[in-house]
Amino acid sequence: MQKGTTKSRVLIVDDEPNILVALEFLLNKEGYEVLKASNGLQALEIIEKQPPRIVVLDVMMPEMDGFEVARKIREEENNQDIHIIFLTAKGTDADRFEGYANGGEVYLTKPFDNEDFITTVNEVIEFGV
Amino acid sequence: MYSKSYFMNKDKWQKLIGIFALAILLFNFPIVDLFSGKGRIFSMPLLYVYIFFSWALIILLTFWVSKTPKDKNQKNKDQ
Amino acid sequence: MSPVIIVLVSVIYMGILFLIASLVEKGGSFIKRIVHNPITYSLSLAAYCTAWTFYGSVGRAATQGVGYLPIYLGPAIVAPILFVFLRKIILISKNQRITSIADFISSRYGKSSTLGVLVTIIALLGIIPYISIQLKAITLSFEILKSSDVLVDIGSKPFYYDSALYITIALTFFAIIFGTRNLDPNERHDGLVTAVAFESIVKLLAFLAVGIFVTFGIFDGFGDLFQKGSTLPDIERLFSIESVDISEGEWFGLIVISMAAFLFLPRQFHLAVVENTDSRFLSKASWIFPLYLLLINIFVIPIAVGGLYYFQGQNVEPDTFVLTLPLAMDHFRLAMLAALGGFSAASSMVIVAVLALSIMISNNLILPTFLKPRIWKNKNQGNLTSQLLGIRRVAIVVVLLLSYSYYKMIGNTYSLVSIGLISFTAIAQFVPAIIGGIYWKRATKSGAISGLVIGFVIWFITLPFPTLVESGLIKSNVLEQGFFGWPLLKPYALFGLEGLDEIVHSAFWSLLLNLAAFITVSLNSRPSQLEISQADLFVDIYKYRSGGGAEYEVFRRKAKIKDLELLLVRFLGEERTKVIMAKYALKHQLDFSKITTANADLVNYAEKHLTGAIGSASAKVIIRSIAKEEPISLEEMFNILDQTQEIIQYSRALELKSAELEKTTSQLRQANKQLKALDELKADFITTVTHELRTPITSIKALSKILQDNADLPESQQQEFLDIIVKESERITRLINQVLDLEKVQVKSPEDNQSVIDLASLVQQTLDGLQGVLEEKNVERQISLPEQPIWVKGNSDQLTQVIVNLLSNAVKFANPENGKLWIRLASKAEHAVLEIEDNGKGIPKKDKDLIFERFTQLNDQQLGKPKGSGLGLFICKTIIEQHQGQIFLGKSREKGANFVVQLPLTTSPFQTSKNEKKRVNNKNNSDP
Repeated sequence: MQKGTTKSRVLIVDDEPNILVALEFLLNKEGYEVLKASNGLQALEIIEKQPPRIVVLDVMMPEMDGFEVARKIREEENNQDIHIIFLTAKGTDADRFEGYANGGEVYLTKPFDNEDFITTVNEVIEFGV
Repeated sequence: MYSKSYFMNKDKWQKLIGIFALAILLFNFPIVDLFSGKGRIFSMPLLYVYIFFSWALIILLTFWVSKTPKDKNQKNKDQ
Repeated sequence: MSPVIIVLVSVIYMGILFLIASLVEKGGSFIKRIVHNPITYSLSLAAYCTAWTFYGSVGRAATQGVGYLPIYLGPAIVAPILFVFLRKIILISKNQRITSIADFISSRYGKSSTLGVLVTIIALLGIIPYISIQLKAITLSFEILKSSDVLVDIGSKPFYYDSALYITIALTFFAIIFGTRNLDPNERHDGLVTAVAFESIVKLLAFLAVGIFVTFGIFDGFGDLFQKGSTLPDIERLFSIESVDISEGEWFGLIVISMAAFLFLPRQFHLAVVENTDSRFLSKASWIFPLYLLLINIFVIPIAVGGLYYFQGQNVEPDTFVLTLPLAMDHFRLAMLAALGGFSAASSMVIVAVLALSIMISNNLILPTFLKPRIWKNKNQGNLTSQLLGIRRVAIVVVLLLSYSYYKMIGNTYSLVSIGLISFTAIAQFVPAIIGGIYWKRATKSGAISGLVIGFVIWFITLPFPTLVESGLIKSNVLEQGFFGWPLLKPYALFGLEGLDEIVHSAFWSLLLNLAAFITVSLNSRPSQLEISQADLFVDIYKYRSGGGAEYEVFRRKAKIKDLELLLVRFLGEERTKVIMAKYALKHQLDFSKITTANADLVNYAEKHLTGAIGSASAKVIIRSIAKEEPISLEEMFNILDQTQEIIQYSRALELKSAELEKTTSQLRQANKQLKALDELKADFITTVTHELRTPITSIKALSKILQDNADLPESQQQEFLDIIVKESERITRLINQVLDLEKVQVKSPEDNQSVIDLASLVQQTLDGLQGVLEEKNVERQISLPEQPIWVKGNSDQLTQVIVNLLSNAVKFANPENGKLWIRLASKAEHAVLEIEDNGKGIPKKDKDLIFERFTQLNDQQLGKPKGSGLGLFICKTIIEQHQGQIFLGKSREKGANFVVQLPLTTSPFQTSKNEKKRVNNKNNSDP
């Protein structure tokens, strides 16, 4: 919807600062506006103030895990257009299932491939899921 | 002993029950009564001709329905 | 015709049958393939067409026209769904090794012996009249052929002149030879089935021959026959339904009871279910069998019309038209063929019917009542096989004698068809119990018994009883007055229902009340455990059929293998027992010489094989005598108490044994649980390590790829990324090292590299080593170490590692603004106590024990994420425990964490050497 006028905003959430560095670089290079959060609460605050098109969520984070963050995002009426991409080291089928069950639309596992990641984000922005 | 492909498909099952229902219908009142009376075909009483004709029809239908999948099965085995 | 020729032809015919049967039984695989095939199977089902069909249909057609047909339309209607319906019964019977209809019903309702007896009695009383009309038919044909006279009277001769008696004796021998040659556990008689199929061909060909002769020999084809017939009003009326006075209800009722009879007459059940070798045959039988019926019925009406037309004015019994028409035209050979056809129809019915009845009588009547467990306990009795066969043979003789008596007393008063229909109506009483049994789980034993009893009583007072009255055997006026003088209880007009044919009248009331009782009582009674499990098995047979019933059995029965074997030998013979046991041993890889107790599965297995030989109810009783199972009814309890004291003691011993077994089982279960927990821990460990490895690898991979793809990055950024890569690589190294440490600690036995250490100086040394780090973090330290050495026994490297871990944790978690550390070492009683405390946020109570587990990290938000592997404290704990010490969280002055390490004190290594020195000195002193 916003495509063409403003750059799409992407929020990345991970408790590993080094991973945030890498993700930020990749997304910036592709022309996205990048917001960062190192935990779930912070992420939710940011979403309320500056709703992004996409949230890239880690699962294993202190205090509030990624699944819960996703659930909280989905609880808000206004947030239904936000796409949620899980990016996590948890790779079993059960985890995947839980990810989808909690409102995630794409489930990527760590370590990820840079190109795959960017392509996925681009596709989600372009076509939705 | 029972190959899996042999298990009767629902389709066949339902067809056979359909034939059963048709047989009940054909061989009972009031339909049987329709053919009772003075009617003759080649001077044979209509009632008998009707009953034996329907009987043959039921047999033919049963033969047809129960036969088809069996043949397929046979072909598969032969290949 | 000379009786010698007739007897000779009959004997030759029987000889051929016997030859076929024995060829088949001895035959190789080629013959078996001919026998086990859908055509033979379908032809054997045609035993449905008895002498009643052969002679009686024509008789009934001559008086009722189309009214003879419902008896054949019933089976023809049900034929298309044989594969849907009968297949289920066959699968159940194979699964449960059921060998008769009585067995089937008894087995479904909790292997009830009461039901077995009830069904057997109903079948017996129902079938005897039926067998008697076969005798009548054969006798009649014999007499007609002998005198070549179309008007014979067979009623009034002394018994030794009576050919019926000799025919009965001949059939008895025939039945015994065919049916009881050996005891097959599955009650399969290939030879007999083939002979029956052959007889079906003979009777069909004979009937067709007569039909063609009448239609095209006497008359000029169907058209001519019917045209001539139509000129007589007596024949003309047969061509419409109204004029022969058949109501819709009668028509429908006859169709229903003939459906039931076709499926559940004991001989039909025997041929269709017990003798079935492959349920797939049903598919072809569902059109071959009705085709057979169609063919054998095509000429019934023409023969009836031809007979009526030809013999008009003479008093020829229409039941005999098949014979008398050829005779009247002087075609003796055709008449002989017709008689042979009639004989084949009658004999196949009689032989299979008495065989099926004898199985039911021996397995459901005699064995459960008289045998009980006693018989196998008595060791002198040897192989029971011959005794069982003896019982069967006696049963066959008795059944045929009863049939003969019935024939002598009543047979002449009634036509073939009406007596046959009395039997059909009796058999129809089984329908609710069977259909309900395989489709309705809620059906109970009490329901089945009530339905059968009520149906049977009504059948009896409305059908056979009046025949006894009418034939003068019983003097009574109930036919006019009703029972107890109540007009509502008139046998032919029960509850005021009048105007129906007596068969349909009886069928209506008996089936209606049977069904009502069956349903009502079932809904209001509680099934036993065994009934519930059997119900489940019968209704859901498709679920259980592959596994057999064994694992489903609700009872946990056990028995001595020796007993089990002994019992099988008694009933099945030594050889079969060996084969059966060997099969089981092979399948389950057991060695019977090493085990003494048979488990439930083996007991069930044995019971199934025994069921094949003696029926389910008897097998249950006998197996129960050696196997322990719960629950036992009061009556059966008395029976067991009735037996010798020996049995009681034996069952006590068994109880003890099973208690022991239970104990062992629970121990095993415990061990298994522990093993599983260990396994889970290991799996956990691996998942966590891989996850911990993935995180740094993710950063490294992503950033190095960025560096690779973006050669034009500003130098500062390149540097930043490289730094991260290096740091993350170090993290991986650290993790791997710690995992290896852990492995080392866990593998090493505590005695390795142990020496006596001064803990005080060890702490001091470690603090000195960490000086730089502590300074850098700007943490205030308060250290209190004793001046004397504190001796502990241990590995100094490992203990250093513990101190380092604890100190670095303390530094990490200390308040970032004004960090404080307290380090205290003291000896208290038997222990050296080292405390390392910080002034951080402390550890939540709930995590107190958890933090010593591997991979537990203090993920508290306020604490921030510690950059550890989660293995540190776990390693500390492992090391301390290997030193016979303890590590735990102690009380802290401020909010922070206070880790306390306790290690057992040991004696100073110098103590002894000092003493030794002293002694040396003393020596020196004393010896200047």
